[in-house]
Amino acid sequence: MVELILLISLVLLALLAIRSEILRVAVVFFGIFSLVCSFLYLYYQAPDVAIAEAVIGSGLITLLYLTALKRYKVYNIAYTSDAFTQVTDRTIVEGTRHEHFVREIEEFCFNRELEPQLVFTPDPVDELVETGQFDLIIRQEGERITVYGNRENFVVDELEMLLILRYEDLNIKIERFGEEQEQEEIVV
Amino acid sequence: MKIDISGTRSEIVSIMTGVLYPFIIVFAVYIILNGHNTPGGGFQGGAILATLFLARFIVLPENDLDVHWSHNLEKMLFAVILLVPGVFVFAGLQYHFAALREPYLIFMNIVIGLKVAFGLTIVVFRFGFYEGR
Repeated sequence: MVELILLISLVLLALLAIRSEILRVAVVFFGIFSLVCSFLYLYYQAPDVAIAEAVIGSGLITLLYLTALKRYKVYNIAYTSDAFTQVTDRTIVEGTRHEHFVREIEEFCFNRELEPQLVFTPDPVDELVETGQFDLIIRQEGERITVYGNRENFVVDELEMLLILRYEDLNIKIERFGEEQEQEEIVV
Repeated sequence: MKIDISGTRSEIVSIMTGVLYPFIIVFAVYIILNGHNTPGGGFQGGAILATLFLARFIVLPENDLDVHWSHNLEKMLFAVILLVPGVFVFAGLQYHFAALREPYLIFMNIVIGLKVAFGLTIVVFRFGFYEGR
């Protein structure tokens, strides 16, 4: 009877972990899955394996996943333009002509459980790259938009696909910066 | 480069982790030292010891652990793990000194436990502080 309950709850927890929308909840379900698994090992008289499963499965792995989620949460975006001489609230509200473009990127981030942090700044791109704290830098020169993506960030690839599909008509260029010297340039 | 991972720091978590600290240590040492008689052993005890550093990592995400030093120590312990059985078991010393068998097991458990604890701690600290975004 105990065995049956444990096995059924194992399957249920696995399904919950797969089907849950929020990643953090999925990680917690996976931790409980490991704990039930370790009970089952104990029931099958393998206490050695049960200890290892309890410590690694529900302790270390859960923590590693949570740390990973936390690290990828905040997505720093800088929006820079020649038109900005000084940034005020007014610039943020109506200064950008391609506001819908920024909205699109924010929605994109929201769908991937990232927290976009948009910064409006008149600083040149090189300085922003040097600070090393931005994942994405959008530069606007008149009609022309250049998107600089961090090479280490995997989300940039997905974003590139989206931009190419949605904004064929706009003049958008995507560049990468990061550790490697060679620059990939995709001109749309 | 120092990265603030915690954001907001929870007082409940930090106090409870402080309370749990000695229990984690005692449990890990018990499992390592009794590994040859009861369930557990070097690997399990070492993993529990590693959770101690992880708990500290949650409460206080500061990069004050010297990763290179513990990396070297881990490699040295690995060499010991390879050498000691080579001398004791494969060279046949265990037949001459039968009384040393239990101390040998305890020693090996301690060494393996330390190696695993260092290894897992390095994994998490490297992941937490060094790997790219």
